Amino acid sequence: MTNKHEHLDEGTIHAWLDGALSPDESAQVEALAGACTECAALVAEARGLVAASSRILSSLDIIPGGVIPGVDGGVDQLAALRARRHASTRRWWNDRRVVVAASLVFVAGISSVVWRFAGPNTVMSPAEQTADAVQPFADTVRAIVTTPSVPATPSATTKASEAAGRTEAKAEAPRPLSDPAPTRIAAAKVLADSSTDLKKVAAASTVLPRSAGLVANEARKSDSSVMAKSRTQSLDSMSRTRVADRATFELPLQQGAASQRQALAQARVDSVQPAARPPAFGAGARLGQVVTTGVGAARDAAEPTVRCYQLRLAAPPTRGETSARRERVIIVADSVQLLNVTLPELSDPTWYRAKAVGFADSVLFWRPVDSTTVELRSRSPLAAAQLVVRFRTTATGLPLPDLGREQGVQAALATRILCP
Amino acid sequence: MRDDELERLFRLYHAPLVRYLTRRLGDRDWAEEVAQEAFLRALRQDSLTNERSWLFAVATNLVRDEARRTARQRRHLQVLAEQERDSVFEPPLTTAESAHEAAMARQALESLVEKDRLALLMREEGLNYEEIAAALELSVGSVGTTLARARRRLAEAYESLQSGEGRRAAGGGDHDQ
Repeated sequence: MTNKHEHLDEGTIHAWLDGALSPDESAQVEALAGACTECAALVAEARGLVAASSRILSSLDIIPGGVIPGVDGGVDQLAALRARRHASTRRWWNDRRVVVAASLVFVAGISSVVWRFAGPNTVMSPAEQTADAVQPFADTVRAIVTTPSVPATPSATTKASEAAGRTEAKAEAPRPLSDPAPTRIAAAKVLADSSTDLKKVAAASTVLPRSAGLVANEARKSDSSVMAKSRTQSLDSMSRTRVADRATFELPLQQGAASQRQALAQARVDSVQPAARPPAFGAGARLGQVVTTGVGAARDAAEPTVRCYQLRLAAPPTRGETSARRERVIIVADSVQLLNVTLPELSDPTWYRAKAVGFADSVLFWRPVDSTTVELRSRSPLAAAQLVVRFRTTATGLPLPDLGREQGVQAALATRILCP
Repeated sequence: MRDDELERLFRLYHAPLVRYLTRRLGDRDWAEEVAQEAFLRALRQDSLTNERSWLFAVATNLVRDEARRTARQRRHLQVLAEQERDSVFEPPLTTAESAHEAAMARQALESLVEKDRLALLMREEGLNYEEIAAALELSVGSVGTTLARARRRLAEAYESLQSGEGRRAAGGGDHDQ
């Protein structure tokens, strides 16, 4: 966890900030961060890196800002997923029409063989021949063509259907397998009921192969068209989701990203921050949640929503500190919300009210410096604790040293976040 | 997998998965397709012990396999998709400035090694260290170091890109920084 100089290593600090350490390890890190100034600086730097990387990654989201997320933005996607699931799990051998057509082809083949070997003296009618030929398969066919939607008691399941591996199929009534005649009759009845062409097939078996082939082809075509239609509907649904209401679909993402960042930032704060917050702004203090209301710049007119930012303040240089040292000390402000309320007590109409959550004794206000820069001030009861900070609303999360050159003005790094 | 399980899985993980994939790929439509395929594969599983890391790992592998197969076609389609997006859909805040920031962010992200990039993107979607380790086949103890390195390199690369832009904008003058 620590190096040979008992300082925290970077991986441990990030794991701590991410809440990935055990309570004991966290306590150890917290103690070190409190006792070692260099460790505290490393923690602050890591905190800045966490915030900066989140902000950089959030700029990859091509999502409109300031829009209210939809409630069920993913419903269409879920429906499309279900459709794809249904299409992907359906198999051609589960299709009743294909099974019937295949059975007819098979029956026709058997009939043809029987007719050839029996010769012209056979007294059986074509229908009887067909029934005889299908006898071994009669129960299987009956089980297949009888769908589960047909009411049946559990006891009605036949041994034939079990033998055929169609446990979900039920026969209409139990039939003894030892009596072949009823079985043949039942098979012929089922086949006759299952296809309007069956009587023609039984009457003229020589025509059967062609008819059955046509039926099979039609069944395949029908199945293909059904599948294609299903896929088309699925794609249409997805397309509608993306094109017709793309903004709506993107909203949950924005909400999720922003709220997640907010939650992560809050979690980090909660895990690190002591119970008592600093009473006022200043070097080493946490801004907490600053709520600001005000729209001054033209950019705000284009963005009518209340905006919130996470601010990081560069600590003011202390005596004896080098500039390099100063750059490393970064103070994190959790979130800043910009409101739209003017300050009647001020004659200058360019100032707007700002409120800090957790800083009830401080009155905040802000004004637009230019189209992209905001100045935030605290009017604390203690004049010495007044804070003057400037940040860019289009900030990139990186230092803006030119903003902090004026007397008493500190530059802040702003990261836009979801308002609490 | 039952329908209610599908719905729960979808509502929990679809948005972060699509966002993860969008950030990874830079193409929303492609991200949605990959996410759908990942969910379909999840549906074929009887049960998932660690569903979030499983989904992210499958999606990552799908992207990797697809990228290997159709890298050239993907680039072409990406260009077409960007052109289509530019001509059809323009988010209100996608100004030239934000687009420029996004381009720099993507360039900075692409400068990371694959493992660091994926770990960082997964962490941003809320995966904990155990889930990241499972998805990327890392040890849990190395995730913190990986994330620290990824965050630092990302910030440095972005800062470098931005300072380079600043110097170019200043025309190579002696702007006081």
